[in-house]
Amino acid sequence: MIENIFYGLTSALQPGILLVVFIGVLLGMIVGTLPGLTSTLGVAILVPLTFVMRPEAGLAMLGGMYCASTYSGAISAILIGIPGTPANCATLLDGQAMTKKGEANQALVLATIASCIGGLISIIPLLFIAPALAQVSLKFGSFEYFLLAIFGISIIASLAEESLEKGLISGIIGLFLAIVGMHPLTGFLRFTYGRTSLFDGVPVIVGMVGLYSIPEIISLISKKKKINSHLIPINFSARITFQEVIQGIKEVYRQKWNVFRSSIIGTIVGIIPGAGCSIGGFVAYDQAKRFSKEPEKFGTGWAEGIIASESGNNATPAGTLIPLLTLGVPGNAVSAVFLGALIIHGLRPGADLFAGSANIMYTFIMSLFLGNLFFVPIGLIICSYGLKMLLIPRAILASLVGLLAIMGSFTIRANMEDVLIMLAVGLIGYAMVRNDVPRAPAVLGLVLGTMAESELARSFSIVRGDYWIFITKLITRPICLILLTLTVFSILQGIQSRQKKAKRNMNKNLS
Amino acid sequence: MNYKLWRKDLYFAISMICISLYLMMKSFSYPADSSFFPRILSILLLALSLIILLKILRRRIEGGLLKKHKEQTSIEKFGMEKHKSRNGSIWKKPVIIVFLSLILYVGITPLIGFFMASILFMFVFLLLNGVRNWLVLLVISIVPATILYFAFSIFFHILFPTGYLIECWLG
Repeated sequence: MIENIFYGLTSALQPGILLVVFIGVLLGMIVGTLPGLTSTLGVAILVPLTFVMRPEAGLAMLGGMYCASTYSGAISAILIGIPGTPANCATLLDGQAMTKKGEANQALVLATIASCIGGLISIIPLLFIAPALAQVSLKFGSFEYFLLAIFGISIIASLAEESLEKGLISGIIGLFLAIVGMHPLTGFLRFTYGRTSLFDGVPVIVGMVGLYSIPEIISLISKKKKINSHLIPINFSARITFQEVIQGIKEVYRQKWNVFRSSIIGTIVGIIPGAGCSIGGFVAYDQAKRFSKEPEKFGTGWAEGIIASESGNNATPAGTLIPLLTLGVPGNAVSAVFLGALIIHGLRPGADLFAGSANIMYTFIMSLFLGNLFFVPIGLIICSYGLKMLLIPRAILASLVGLLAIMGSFTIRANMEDVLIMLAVGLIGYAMVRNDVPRAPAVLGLVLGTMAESELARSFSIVRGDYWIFITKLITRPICLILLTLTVFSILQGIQSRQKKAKRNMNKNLS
Repeated sequence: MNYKLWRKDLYFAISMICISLYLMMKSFSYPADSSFFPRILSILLLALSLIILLKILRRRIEGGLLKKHKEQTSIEKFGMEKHKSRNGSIWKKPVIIVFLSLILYVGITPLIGFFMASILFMFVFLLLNGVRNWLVLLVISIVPATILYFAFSIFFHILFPTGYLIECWLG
């Protein structure tokens, strides 16, 4: 095992591998930053380019693309308030708030460093204990997935800063958007109003781009001043200075437990097939809020939030590769594309992958270390250019964001009607912003809604509609029990912290 | 909740109640085995909207405690002056601009193709937002759309619709 690791290390440090990882990271940065383009798309596009390469080089490039695209969505989330990929939705909560306070530089540095460290930490389990962890992923059945979705939805309660009711309403809006389309088992069409493009439901990316970009465009053209002058502090330099990077590293070091916990959470979420980087980021953010000494600061531009979300979502890629490489079971959509890439390169995913092609696999895993390291300098340079975007006159910025939103939503299914769906969801998002309804719960609802409904329907059909057996199964299966306990704890703690906050407010008002 | 804007929250609660009733009606019209989730969700939505309504009414009845504390509400977010009535129509000018531009964009793409429609969209959007500098208009309309279009079609191999008129012209 140790020899394999050393072999992988020396093999990964060859110029050929270094070059392809660099290219993968560079392309991944572009893919991730553009809203509407996701890691799945980026990796899928790169796979044909890897035909001419050796397997380890091809996989290394795909790994670089995967890691970089999961990180770089934070750049657009922080700067223009639109998450580049669903993974970065939780980063937006504190990232955009920091930009509004004029601290965009710090936010970008924190996101970069936290992503890097989170990704690096997550490769350790992949390297050493992957087979054992992968067994867990096999134990997930419909009941576990349903409870996982419910646990994810319970996070909504903690994402709703002020009004719990409005947060829950937002979550329900997201769930309704996920319900649109065919029922997963019966195929019955709901809320489609006869439009064929809605038969498959609202695509998550289209919904997310709409929810965040349309209100942002409207906000940009509503303001009277030409430039985002309130976002630019007095000594604004549209460059990230070395000083700021050092400060960012110190901050991340100060919050090492946050980073560690979020990375572990991200890795675990990745191991669960079907749960992707977005859920990893959200759960890490939620847990950081619960463990934090100052939870009320989350959402106001608080470093802990960005660090938790970014290390969580960058830890998920390695987690998704664990069941893929050990069992051939993809952990999310991107790793499913990886599965295709493995097959194309003549590797046999499954229990024999490491036995048969240990050299290639260890080189690939070592190259993931490189990928997570490379995007730090590249990312910081791109961030410096991105910061200049804050200086662009509003109308021009709005039109660029509009163009990106249109292209992003069109690209998903090559269907112009998706642009209209994006507009419709965007108007809902605008109505939400005007009424102080948070939008992050809606994204969570949209992501989890399909899983919740289909797994519930499947579980019911497994127990043939018998409610008692259904409930019994939910309580007796071990993983279900764990998830149920987590959910109940999550809800109880949410209620408790709200009561504490209400009491504190009352004391403040009485004194 | 912000006490100064209780009317806005009231309208919100009432609209949510109407929306949830509509959703309930639709969900219950679907067959039972295909609409379990929507039914529960619409009932929850109704319950939550009623809770918000009751909270607002309770606070008003308890004597209109007009607190002076300022919160960051959507007034600041949208940069409108504070003395303007916040109960204005949701159909404000920026919303109409965005709404119409996008609808026209989708409508005109089958005719002139994605590429030309993008350029036209940028041009019209910039004009509607008060940009009058011809150089800026030309450059911003053409350059980003071209770069993005070719990046997407060449690198990502995405086929964009070409448009009926362009196809006629090309024969």
